[in-house]
Amino acid sequence: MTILIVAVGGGLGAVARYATVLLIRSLFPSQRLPYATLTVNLLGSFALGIFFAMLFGEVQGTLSTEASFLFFAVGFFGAYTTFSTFSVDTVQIFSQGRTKDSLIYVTVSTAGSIASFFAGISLIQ
Amino acid sequence: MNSFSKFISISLIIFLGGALGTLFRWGIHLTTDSYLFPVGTVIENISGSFLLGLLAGWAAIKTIPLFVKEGAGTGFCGGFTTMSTFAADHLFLLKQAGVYYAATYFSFSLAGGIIAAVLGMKAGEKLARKRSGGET
Repeated sequence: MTILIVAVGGGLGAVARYATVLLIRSLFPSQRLPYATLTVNLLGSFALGIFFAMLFGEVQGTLSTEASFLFFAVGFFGAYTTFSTFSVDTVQIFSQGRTKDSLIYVTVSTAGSIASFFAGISLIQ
Repeated sequence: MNSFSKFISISLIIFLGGALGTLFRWGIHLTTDSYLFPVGTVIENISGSFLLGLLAGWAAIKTIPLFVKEGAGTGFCGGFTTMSTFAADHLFLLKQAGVYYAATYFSFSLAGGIIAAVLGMKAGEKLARKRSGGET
């Protein structure tokens, strides 16, 4: 049962990421930076922050075995956000000679995701 | 295939890849949960970046079927790696271990992910060239 909850949460998160990426790309066709990946990472981290604060009140580090934690934190938001696309995109931007763009992308993705998670937490607490 | 049924079938492939990637990620989490440092997230994000790099490098030389690209790349690699857990880990590290650990985790994940992506892309290009017998 646990495996099913994690798998369905992750599968749905990945499909939701795909749909978000398609939407952002159709809204903003000419892209200087991968705004679609940026959107899912910032949005997913923000939502995970809200979820953590709602579930725990006080945030703790250990893995919970609660079904909602497995579905949302491990499954859905874990798969909705992505690190691999971020890494590969960064390398591709950099290898096009766009050093400044790659630095901006790295900073906004990583520091931005951490800030979004904290913002989500403080919104509830 | 019209665009709607194409969207549905690609979504199904991504669902399966994402579910599988998430299960692998969770499995690594469970086996590394006893460490204070988020070793699991580091392993997932670095090896997943290598895998997606491999795919991207291959795709730069040879064409990849759309379903493989979406299923393995968007689905599996995307589901296997995570930015939200990466972000959340910083809070626990700051609370339980201190800013030094959080900074180490941040740098290690970032540098590791990018180096892994570079190595993966180079290896993918090499494999694709080898496969096409040096024609390209």
